[in-house]
Amino acid sequence: MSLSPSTSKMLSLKSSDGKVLEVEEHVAVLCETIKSLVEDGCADSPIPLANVDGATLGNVMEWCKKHADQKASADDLEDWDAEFVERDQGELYHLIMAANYLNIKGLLDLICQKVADMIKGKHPEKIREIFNIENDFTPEQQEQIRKDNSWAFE
Amino acid sequence: MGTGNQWSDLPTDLLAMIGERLNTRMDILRFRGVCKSWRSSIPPYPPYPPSPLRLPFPVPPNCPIDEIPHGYITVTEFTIYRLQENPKASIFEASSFSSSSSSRSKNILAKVREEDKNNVCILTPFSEVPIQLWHKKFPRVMNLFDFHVSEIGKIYRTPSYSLHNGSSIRWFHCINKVAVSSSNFVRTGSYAVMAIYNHGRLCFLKSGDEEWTAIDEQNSGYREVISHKGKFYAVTHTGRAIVVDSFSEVSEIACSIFGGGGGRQMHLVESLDDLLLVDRCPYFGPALVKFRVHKLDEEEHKWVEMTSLGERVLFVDQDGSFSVSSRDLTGCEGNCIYYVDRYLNKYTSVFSLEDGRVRPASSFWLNPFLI
Repeated sequence: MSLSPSTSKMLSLKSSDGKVLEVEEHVAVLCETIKSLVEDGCADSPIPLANVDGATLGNVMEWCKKHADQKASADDLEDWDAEFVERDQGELYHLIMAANYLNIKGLLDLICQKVADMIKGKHPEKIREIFNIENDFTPEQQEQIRKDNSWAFE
Repeated sequence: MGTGNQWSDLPTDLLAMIGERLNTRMDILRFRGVCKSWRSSIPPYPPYPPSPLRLPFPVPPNCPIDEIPHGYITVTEFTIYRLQENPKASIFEASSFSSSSSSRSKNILAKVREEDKNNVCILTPFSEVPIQLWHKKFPRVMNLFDFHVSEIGKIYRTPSYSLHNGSSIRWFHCINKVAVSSSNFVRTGSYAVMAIYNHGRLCFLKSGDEEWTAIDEQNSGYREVISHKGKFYAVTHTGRAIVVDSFSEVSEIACSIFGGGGGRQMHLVESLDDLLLVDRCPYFGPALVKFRVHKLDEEEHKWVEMTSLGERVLFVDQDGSFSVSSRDLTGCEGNCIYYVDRYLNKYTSVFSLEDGRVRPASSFWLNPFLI
């Protein structure tokens, strides 16, 4: 099957909130999940994507489109990616879940790196604040963590 | 999709993918201290490289066995941290010095050996004696959540000898300096070591090897070695530099810049993304100490002399050197080099590239426990 841009046909993708997005096939197949459907001949349109909302699907396809572009240089992609992940934690959460569901390794790596970079050098309290996470440790666990995070001098 | 705590409900494999992108012990400790699901997604920081690192001895490859005793060399890892105390905590407050500086932001540089969680040694950057041994008021336990802790770098003290059967060791069997590369160890568990032995020869060892491999055998005169961006860099007394990749492939990366002759002490320092060569003349004596700094230009294959370090501050020492931003240390001026005259007075001095002069160094962050 040829997936080159010149012969690429259009695929319809349907998001969890019912929005339909028309995407060139050679762009959409960056998602391994969609690629398998296409290869198996199961890509009846529109393809329902029950776990991805319309806004996130739009963002994901924007990333795929950029990365399907054969003319983009590595440096160019790197700069573009850095800008692409400048988002709040809510959007990043939806992107990481979508990248996982659609099985897009490049995007998943990118978001994981971004989240790791947001964590680096920060106190747990600050990390909880940024990602809106509740401290659910029991007092005993909390005590163990305090111990793990101590230096004892003989 | 849930509201509020989505990030704590992230699938474990995704949390693990994020966690494995953290490389420092401190970041992993803090990641595991966020919430239950994050804690169980990645294992604790491995005690690795096994410290002290035990390396086979003697060093020269193919050394006749009956000539010298065999054993191992131990190398101790120290991590340089910048510790900034939370307002609530009061360790530095309790020190005799800090009453006069209590209004200042209390940050210090510490050199820490963490071989065993229950027996940590904390030292000032140039000291060889743990603070807890000479500062009576120093606490028995320090809770790291009371600090903002940033990892600055690692240095490796070389080496002490342990032999199977005690016997004299000749100088040409000894290691003068080691560099350890373990940047990828959380994921791969592997490390590599490059060492200078016999006063100027290079050898290489990776985890699992039982013997050293000689590197660049036809050349000697190596004075300094460092791990930088996943590769090893070594420099000779003339400034000729080589880079050695993970396959032990050697290529020359800079030509000589100094005449032969000794009397020059050299340090390789990683400063942000750059590799710097700091040389000091003369080696001995207090008078007219002068430092010069060159930056490696990898594309042009040469050292380029720097007239200023900007806001950076370098700390150079025989075990290893590091670089800090002066903005991270209260009252610290940039464009300076801190060092100790180990052969002269053991006092910390600071050389300013601005005016070329040496002054005694006495900053709170360098030693908060001065009496």
